[in-house]
Amino acid sequence: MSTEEHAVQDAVAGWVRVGRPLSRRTDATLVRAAQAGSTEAIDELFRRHWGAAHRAAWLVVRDAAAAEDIAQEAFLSALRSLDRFDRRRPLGPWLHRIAVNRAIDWSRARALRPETPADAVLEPVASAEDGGIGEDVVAALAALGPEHRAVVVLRHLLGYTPGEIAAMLELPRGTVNSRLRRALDALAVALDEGPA
Amino acid sequence: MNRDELERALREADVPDAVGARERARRTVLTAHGQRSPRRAPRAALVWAVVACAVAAVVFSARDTQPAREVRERVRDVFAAPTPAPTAAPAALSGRVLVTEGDELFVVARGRRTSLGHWRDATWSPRGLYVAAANANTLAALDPTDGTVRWKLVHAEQVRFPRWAPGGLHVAYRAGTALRIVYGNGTHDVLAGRMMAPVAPAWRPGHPRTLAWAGYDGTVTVEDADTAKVLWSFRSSQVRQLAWSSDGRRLLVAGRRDGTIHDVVTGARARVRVDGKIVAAAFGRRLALAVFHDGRTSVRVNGETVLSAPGRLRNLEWSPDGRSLLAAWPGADHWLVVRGREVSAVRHRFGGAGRVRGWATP
Repeated sequence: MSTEEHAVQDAVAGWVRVGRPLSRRTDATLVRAAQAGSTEAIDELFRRHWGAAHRAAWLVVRDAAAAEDIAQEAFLSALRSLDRFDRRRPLGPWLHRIAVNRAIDWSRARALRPETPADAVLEPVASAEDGGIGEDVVAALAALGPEHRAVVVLRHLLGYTPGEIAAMLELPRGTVNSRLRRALDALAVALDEGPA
Repeated sequence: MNRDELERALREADVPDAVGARERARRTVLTAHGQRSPRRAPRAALVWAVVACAVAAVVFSARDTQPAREVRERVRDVFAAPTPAPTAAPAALSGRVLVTEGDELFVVARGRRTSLGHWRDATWSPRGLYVAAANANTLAALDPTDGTVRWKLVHAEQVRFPRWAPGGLHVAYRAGTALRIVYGNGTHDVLAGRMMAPVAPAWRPGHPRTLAWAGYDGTVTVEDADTAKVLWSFRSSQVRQLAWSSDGRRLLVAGRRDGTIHDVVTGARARVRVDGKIVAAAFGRRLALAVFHDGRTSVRVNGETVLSAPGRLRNLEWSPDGRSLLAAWPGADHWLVVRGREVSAVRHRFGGAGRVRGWATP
């Protein structure tokens, strides 16, 4: 494609956003297209954000079925609020906030309302076994409380600053810092390294 | 373990069934998006309607003028139509209706009915993709096209009143005298409350985890289904029905002869008094009540009578768009569908035991 053709494409894309691949569009552009009814835009937003939201939920709840439902519900909540969504705000943190807060709620509820088995569950649920490189780290993380797991996941998986985490979880920044410190110390002890 | 090792471990941990979960969620999200109406700019007609309302307001404000008197008479004519004559119009029943007849469950769509098997109670999932059904001591999720059982739970006690949460994440139901909540995929079945009255629980529209339920002692509890945190609690002498307005702001707690509407935002309460027994209620954008008195049932929407017929009505259901109201009399060979001032009679082939359980989009 010539320079002139690039210029024409950019000009067109600037006005009507046609011709630019979906993967190169910003979240704000995709949200606007989704608000107008574009299924392709929703599909692209899902492709961009599902992985992190699902992984974050699973690391907090350590339950495959619950993590799937929590991440899915975060996307459906976003869909329900799509018309009111402020496109100047990034979509990812909003989804992560919903997913992680619900994961914390779910974990607390499991402690409050212990599951009682019915006689039969026909649909098989996914195996709870895990593996991979960080198996020890993930197992040590699972031994922490949900609030501590959440701050570790938000900080070290999703890369948010303590200030951003404080806003997401509606906590004082000092509480986030102390939870992070305690969680990392507990992980170090669990991995037999002594406090970091 | 340094920071890089921790971050790599979190990034690379194997999430069980990640591919399957992604595809299932993707299908659900795209389906939900497909059912959503795109945002539209205000149309010229809407602008003209606003102008017309403004003109009418001016006319009304001039109380003694001839135009004002004419408008007032027309408004009275519109709303004082208690016994309209039904006409055959099957198109009035757009969408899919769940009906139980005895211990068999049916889906009625486009004038045809499909059996989903032997179930005595049922409810739609929020987007009509599944049906939660109960019979004896079994709760199940069904495919509404052919009744295929997706999952089921078997309890020692009788299961009744399945109700699917608006976000699709939970199903609440009564097992024995306990309130139980299970995830929409059939996992994590938990005991959520004891001594539950035989009244269907009601999920709050727009709040996917907020549930109202009634206890034997007349206590109505509104709580978060995940955290069990009690958000509100009301005492009532007798609870027969619970129903939320479609904006999730008002909760109707109906007894046998009266009811109370609780505004959970302001805390205000409004009494609902009727001259008979409340035999059915449906709360959408408007409150519809069926009141039985002297051998007749009258259906009132926001206090105005829109239907009246002999016998005791059993069911009221608002359509998914909240504009049409379906009223079902036992023994009648048709349902009455009220839309604005029009009433249509839609024939069906159910006997006296037929009960409408829900109305979903096509």
